Amino acid sequence: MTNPVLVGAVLYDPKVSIIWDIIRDFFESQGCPIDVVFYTNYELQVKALADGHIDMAWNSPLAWLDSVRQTGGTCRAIAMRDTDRDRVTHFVVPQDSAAQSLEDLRGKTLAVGAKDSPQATLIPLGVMQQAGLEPGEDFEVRRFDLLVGKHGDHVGGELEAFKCMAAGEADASCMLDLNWDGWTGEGIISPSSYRILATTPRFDHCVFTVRADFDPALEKRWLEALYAMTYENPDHREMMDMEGLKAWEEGRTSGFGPLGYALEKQAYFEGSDA
Amino acid sequence: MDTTGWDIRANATQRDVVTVHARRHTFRVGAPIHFDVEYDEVSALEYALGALAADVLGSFRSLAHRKRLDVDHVEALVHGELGNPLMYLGVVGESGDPGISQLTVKCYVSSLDDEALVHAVWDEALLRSPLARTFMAAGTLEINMQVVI
Repeated sequence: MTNPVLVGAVLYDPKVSIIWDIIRDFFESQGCPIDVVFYTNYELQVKALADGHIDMAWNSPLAWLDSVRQTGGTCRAIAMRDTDRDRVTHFVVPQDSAAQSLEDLRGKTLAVGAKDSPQATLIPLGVMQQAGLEPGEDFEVRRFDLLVGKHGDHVGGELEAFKCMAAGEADASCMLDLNWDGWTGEGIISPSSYRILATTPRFDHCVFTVRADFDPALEKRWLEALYAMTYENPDHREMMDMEGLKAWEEGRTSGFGPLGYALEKQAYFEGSDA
Repeated sequence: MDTTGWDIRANATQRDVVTVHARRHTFRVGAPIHFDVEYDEVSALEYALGALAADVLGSFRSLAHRKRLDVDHVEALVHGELGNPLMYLGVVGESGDPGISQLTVKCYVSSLDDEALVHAVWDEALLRSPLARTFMAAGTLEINMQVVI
């Protein structure tokens, strides 16, 4: 019997286990069995990957860069969702805000998500720094640390940041483009009351990560199984809708620049044990 | 029949489905707990909540009948919470207990009889309810009853 590929995943909600049960059954049906190991946070998962306890990790962008750091740059990004590519974060302000650029947030308050959220905190703060505005010096930061360790997978921090701005306690808030689209579409945010002040450069999001020593033949078989999942197949569509994608793409590492810049500017890993 | 002990037999012949035999009756039970609202089996936890409701309501209706209380309708809403459901999923790094940490039962009794009498019968029925007494002893159960017309 082929040993199952051990895939790590972080659970921010028990409901997320449902999609992994479906994915597990899918890989079983493709003759490439996987076992999913759930972690409570990305730090444990990254360490498990680096230590060889799991073969592969479904990593957040921050977990990817942490894996690069902990494996001395030898880990590889092998696959990602189409929707993981070219994401952006919006700086949102009330329609009647006087702000016309990020510079206009000097002396103001910016509401962000959890301290480890690439999209809601780290990247937008990095963009502010690139614009010459230092957090805590040139502008105030209101941070909403919901479910720290989950790297902002849970949208609660972004929503709390928006609510903070809506309550008049911040001048701008940060949110992923997908959340802006979703929340304006669902009526949670009225587009007639709020507008996008600025947008970050494009960045990539989650990625399946393996160590350098992952068996190439097994990787090939695993990727063939993954790419057999197609949106045109009605049996696969529900699974792909739940996971929020239309197609699986090759893993690429070119989209982590904005986060890498932010981590360096914010000395994110400074003092880290790992 | 043993009057202090009860027996059932259960078979797990497929994943996430257990067939339970109780005397001449048979019923299916799904996974211990499940997080999908579309899940097509009744989970063991849901059976437990249902059993508690049946225990409380059944005890009350039985006693109300014997006391000739005029009861039109009785309904219960049961809410159960687990200490940490992620422990059930085996999430690495989690801690705590996957067991039931809190049960809340809200009951509504529709009766034209004197409200004080309904409450008296209700209180007595709770003392006789085997499952309610069990959960009360565990300190996890909160029961409220409201008389409605």
